[in-house]
Amino acid sequence: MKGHYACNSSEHTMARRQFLGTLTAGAGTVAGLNALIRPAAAAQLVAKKKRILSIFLNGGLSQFESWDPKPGTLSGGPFRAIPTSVPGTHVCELLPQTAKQMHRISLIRSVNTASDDHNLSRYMIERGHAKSAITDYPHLGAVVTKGLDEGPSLLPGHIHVSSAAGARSSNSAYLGPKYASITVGTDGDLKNSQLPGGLTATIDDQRHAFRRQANERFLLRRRTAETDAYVQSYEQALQLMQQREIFDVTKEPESAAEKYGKFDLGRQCLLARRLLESDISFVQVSHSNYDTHAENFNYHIKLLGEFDQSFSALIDDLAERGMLESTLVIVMSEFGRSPDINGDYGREHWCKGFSIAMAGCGIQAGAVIGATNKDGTEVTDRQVDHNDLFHTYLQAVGLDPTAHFNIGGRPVPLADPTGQTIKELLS
Amino acid sequence: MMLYRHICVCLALGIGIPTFANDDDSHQPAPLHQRIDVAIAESSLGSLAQIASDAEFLRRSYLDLHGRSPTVAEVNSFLAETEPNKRAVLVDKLLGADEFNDFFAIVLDVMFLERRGGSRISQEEWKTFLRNAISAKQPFDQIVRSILSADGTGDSRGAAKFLLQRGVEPHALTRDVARTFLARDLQCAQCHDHPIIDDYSQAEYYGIFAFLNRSYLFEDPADGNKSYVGEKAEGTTEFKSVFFPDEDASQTIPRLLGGFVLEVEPRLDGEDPYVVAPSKETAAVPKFSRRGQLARLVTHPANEHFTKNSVNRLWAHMMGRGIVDPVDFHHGDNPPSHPQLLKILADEFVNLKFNIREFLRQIAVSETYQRSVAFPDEPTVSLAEIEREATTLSTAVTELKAASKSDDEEYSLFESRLSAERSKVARVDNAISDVCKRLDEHNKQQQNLKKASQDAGKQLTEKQQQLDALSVAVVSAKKVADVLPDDETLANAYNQYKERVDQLNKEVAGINQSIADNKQQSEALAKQLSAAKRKLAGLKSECVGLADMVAEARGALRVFDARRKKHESLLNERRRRLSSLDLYRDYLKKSDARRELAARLAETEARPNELNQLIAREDQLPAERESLLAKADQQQQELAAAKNAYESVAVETDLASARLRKSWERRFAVRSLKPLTPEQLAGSAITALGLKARFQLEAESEWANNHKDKEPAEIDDGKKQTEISALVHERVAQVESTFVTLFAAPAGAPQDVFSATVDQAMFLANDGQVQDWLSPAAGTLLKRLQSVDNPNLVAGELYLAILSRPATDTEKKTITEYLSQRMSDQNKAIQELAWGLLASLEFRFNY
Repeated sequence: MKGHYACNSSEHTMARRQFLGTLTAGAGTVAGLNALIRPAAAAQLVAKKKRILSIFLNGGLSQFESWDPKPGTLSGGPFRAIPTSVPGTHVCELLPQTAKQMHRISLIRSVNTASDDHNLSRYMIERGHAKSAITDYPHLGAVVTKGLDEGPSLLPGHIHVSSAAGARSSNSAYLGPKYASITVGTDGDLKNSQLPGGLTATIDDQRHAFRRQANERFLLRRRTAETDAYVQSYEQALQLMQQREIFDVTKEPESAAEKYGKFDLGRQCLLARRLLESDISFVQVSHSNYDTHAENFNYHIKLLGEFDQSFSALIDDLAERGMLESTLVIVMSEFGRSPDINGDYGREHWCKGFSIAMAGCGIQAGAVIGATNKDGTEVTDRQVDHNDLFHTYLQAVGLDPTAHFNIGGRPVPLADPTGQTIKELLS
Repeated sequence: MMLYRHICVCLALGIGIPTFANDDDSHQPAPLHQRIDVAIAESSLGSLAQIASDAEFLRRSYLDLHGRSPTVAEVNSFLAETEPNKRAVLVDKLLGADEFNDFFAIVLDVMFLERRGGSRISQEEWKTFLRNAISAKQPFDQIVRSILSADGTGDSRGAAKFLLQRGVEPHALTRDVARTFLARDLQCAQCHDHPIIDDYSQAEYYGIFAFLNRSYLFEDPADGNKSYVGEKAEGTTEFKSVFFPDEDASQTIPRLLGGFVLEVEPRLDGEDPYVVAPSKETAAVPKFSRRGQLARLVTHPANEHFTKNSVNRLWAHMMGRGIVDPVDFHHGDNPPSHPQLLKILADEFVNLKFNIREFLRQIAVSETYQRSVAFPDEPTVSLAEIEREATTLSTAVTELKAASKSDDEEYSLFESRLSAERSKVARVDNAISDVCKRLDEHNKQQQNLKKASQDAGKQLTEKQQQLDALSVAVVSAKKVADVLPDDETLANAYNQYKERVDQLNKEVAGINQSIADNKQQSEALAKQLSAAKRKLAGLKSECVGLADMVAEARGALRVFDARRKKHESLLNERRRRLSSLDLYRDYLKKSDARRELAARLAETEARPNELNQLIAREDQLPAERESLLAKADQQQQELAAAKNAYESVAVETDLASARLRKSWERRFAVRSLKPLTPEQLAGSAITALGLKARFQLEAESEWANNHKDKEPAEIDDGKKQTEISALVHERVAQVESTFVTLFAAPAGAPQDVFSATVDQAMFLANDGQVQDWLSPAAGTLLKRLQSVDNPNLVAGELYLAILSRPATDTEKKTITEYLSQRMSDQNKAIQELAWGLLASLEFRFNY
């Protein structure tokens, strides 16, 4: 099955990396990890801490083959709609496992962003603002991480999981580097997280002791929030290096690996769950490539086969662990796919009525908001846009989207003030 | 007609450009650095930090003016210098060096572009523009004018980056012109008045926008889409609030806050408004450029938003905090910490003709710049003194409040008078415009009539000639017809002649009639014309009268405004003083209470011992023992209570002390601790570790390797040196870009917000690149230290090189101990120590 992609965006050239299985097994057990990350006394407090997991379906998920099926219509395609655990709600038959979790999931079937361009639309969906020549806006993850920031924590708050580890991004815009995403590889790799060659742990301790001693002397002269932050960043780095196991999915039992799926998305979702358990405020995983200008149906069978397994396992797992009520899970895509089916059995880009799924924290379970018409060619009820969604995400984790951050003395709104929370979706 | 336009435009001008006058005072005011110190001392309540040591001063001057820490040689020579004036001498030396030009180009680059990348203008072209402007000692205002008026052609190529990198998008430019040059962050005001800041209005935003929305990005199709700034000669500006979408849109003319309105825009009636007309091949150049006017008005020495913003940004660069903080956020609710000082600095910058070096020099030699980062000792002021001053101040505040209330009333009276006069002016203005229109009409009609009469006259002459000729012919034909009465042809000829004559006579009569009619109409019109002219003259004189009244009302308003502002600023000053007194009072009271509670606690703690001794004796009766135990219990409770009371007051005292200290920092009574910028970090790491020398050696060998096939005679030495320095520059730039990527705020975001992140720490701790900088390659510090075997000397050299100061005895001891445990791998151990200092707070901050 070889796709013919008409538009030449980066999404299309992104290679799907196969999991190499070369991870080395480390010491330590799963059970002991949380205690390492935070003192047991704080665990209670932490349980209430809210977080977001965003699953980004790259390229544009077809709403017809997922959340908003239209079987038997011109635009419906070959698949059936199946009933779900919510009476009256149907999804496409490509999501049989997810259908069983629908009582925990809500759908918005009436999203319209008015942009059919991959980059522009992705920017809107992830940042709640249209791209502008004037200001770069922060990613949802940066806003949430800053909004939920409760002071010094040992781990970075905003993590994107990708096939390979990468440098810190600049997606925090004016919120500053602290809230920009750090990219962790599927294999648990994190840049510069291992001692340089020739340095033993003992010697590393010694040089850090010397550094700390020099700092102590300096702090006698002056101590500020900035010196604290700098000192803290080294301690954070050391903790992170010690606890690299958090990033190691091989520490999960085989049954979990089986349940989530032994492919990239499965491993990434499992890794994401481990990260969320370690109190990271925002985790994003991505799944590619839904940009199916040709062979839309075959690709969706394959892609959604993976997604259905990993996503349903994740929701089930989070619910089982009692984490779902404090974790907002969002399944987003830059746009949907067109009602028209082209000569290559493909669907084009479509922003005028697509779907987004949410579950967990602050969200009413099992709801369906908005609707498209019979053929899915336009929104007929409760149209919302990226801005409204952004407000809703923030509100769901208890952040006031109309509040302001103080950025070095400058008040900056959390969300575009013209948006509206989708109140009926909130629990 | 020109006269009438002038009147209207002048009236529409409103306040107009205030003229800037130098002080009439003939006596020389004190030098700026002294006035800075006086202003800071006045606001500080006698708690100024010590003056920093020579080593501290040296490091901060190098960092602030050259963007790097000083070398070992530079530290040694400055510390050895005994000349009392050596700090001022150093500042002059630093300001005169080429390194200042290089570094200040970076400072201005970050100030103006905030690390926006982009390729329309290369970073190199832009930096060259800035470096050249600074080397050529261009004044600050001129640099800004070049940036705002650049169109990307010829010499303005580099300067055009500010506009071109923002795609000449008028909204992007409006926001950044206001933020960067006027200290006003109007972004929210694009769509509505600022929701929480009263000063930032949509009208102000669009006033600036109107200067810019005719400019556009032009990409030359014939030259690989090379980009330029074009400007059209038309385009108006309308806006409405997104919060009130149903209201009518407002229109605005180009205007800046503070009365800077675009002056008479020449009307080129019928004339081509372009020097170069817009087309697909070329960028348009209008005869009258609104953007050019913006460049002029923004940088006008009387534009205090500009002058204050400029000095505040330079001040913040030197001091680590603006008098207005953040620097792009000057508004009523975020006033300057020292309004008078800000004004003094702004006026002085104008007097210095925007000379950047001289201005920085004045700051650098002030005591304020030279203060230590260590907080001053406990306040020396007593509570009683504070209470006395606070009472006096409170009375003054009450009086001033009353005065300013009456100011407000009078002000609004004058304001309403002015607005009444203005609306009269507007009415007269409209009437004038009506009359002028009518005059135009009449004139046109009159001319038509005149032309008709002339045409008629011409016709008349023609007809008369024809008539004359025909009359002669009729007479002759009559004679012939009389002589030959039977000749029918002849008789017909005669009749025909006669008919033509009759007809012509009729036509002539007609023409004469129309001439007479025209004349009559023309006379009537002339009457109307002169009536209209009389009316116009009347209106004009009324207008002049009104203009006088408006000017008078405006003058009065200005006087009141000045008084009002003075009262207001006095009031604010008193309030500020009161609030700092409050901080002191709070702290002093709390620390008194703490002292008292500490004494009580000590007392309470002392008691149980006696009791315990009593209890310990075993000869009491059970009842006695009971009561002793109860007493002991009570004493324990009292002790716990005293401890609690002490603890809570101690915490409060610490908080009060922190607030007090924060206020000292805001008042520049103590030096702010500044994080190094990414470039300063790179520059200092390169200097500290001796990487420049290493890069030089590497570059030389790389060059030699690349040219190994050449005969020595073939080598041009000048070219060789240039190529080698390019290779060195490449390596330096690579280090710089590593630090920028890790430590700078994202592109386009404010660059003055500090961030310490875990990936920065992991980079410094573990990255191979850092390990490479620490390797003992030829030319480096680490190489040099390999041959030093005395641990004290190693310590001394490490501290001088990395932290720009001699090591203390304790520090030498620490290093000696560290090395003594690692006899087998001294070199590795020295690398670790160098790393420890590089990763330390003292290296990370400018203190």
